[in-house]
Amino acid sequence: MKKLLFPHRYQRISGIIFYLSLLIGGWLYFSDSMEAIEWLTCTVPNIFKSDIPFGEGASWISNNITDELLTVIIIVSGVVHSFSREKEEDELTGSLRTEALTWSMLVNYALVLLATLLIFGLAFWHVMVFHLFNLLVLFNLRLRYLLHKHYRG
Amino acid sequence: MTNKIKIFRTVKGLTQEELGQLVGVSRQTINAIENNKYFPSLELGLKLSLVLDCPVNDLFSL
Repeated sequence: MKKLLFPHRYQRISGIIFYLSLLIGGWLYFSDSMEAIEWLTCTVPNIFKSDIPFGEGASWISNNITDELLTVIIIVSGVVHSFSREKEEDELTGSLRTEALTWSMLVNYALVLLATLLIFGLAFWHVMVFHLFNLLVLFNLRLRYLLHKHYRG
Repeated sequence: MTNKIKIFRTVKGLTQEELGQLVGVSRQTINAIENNKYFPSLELGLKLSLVLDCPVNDLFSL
């Protein structure tokens, strides 16, 4: 498990980027201004114009990449923050990480099941968007809480 | 599972911090083990037994 973790020095900076980009992303999403930054509109490859990847219609299109950029930043910083070593990484911190991952997986899919049964139509799009980041956010919060309790001991 | 790590550690005159350094874990982990909040792996159990100079059977019991 230890071998798979990122170095401890990335933990603080990735955490700052993660929570900051989550806030910015959330604000842009809820204020419906995801395409407000006009200079981020550029030509990108679109491989799924039809139902078949690389099929007829696949081409270069003009698109505002604010949401794509934020998604990449949130996922990369979130993964690095969640899976970077603690200052004193040992088997107990590894065990807490596994516990937090199990907990967040269960809670995340319980929420998805609930949303599947209660949210319909186009509104389900929002569920899919939240599902992209929910697991990472829940895991991160749970892990920080467990580690906080551990360090207080 | 219970353990007598605190007793053997005190006899050896070690602090939780010192014992942690000797077996390669943090002070908090030693504290969690002593208070039965965490059960160590076989590897850590054997290291503790080696450092505290007592058989594993004496250190841990069911």
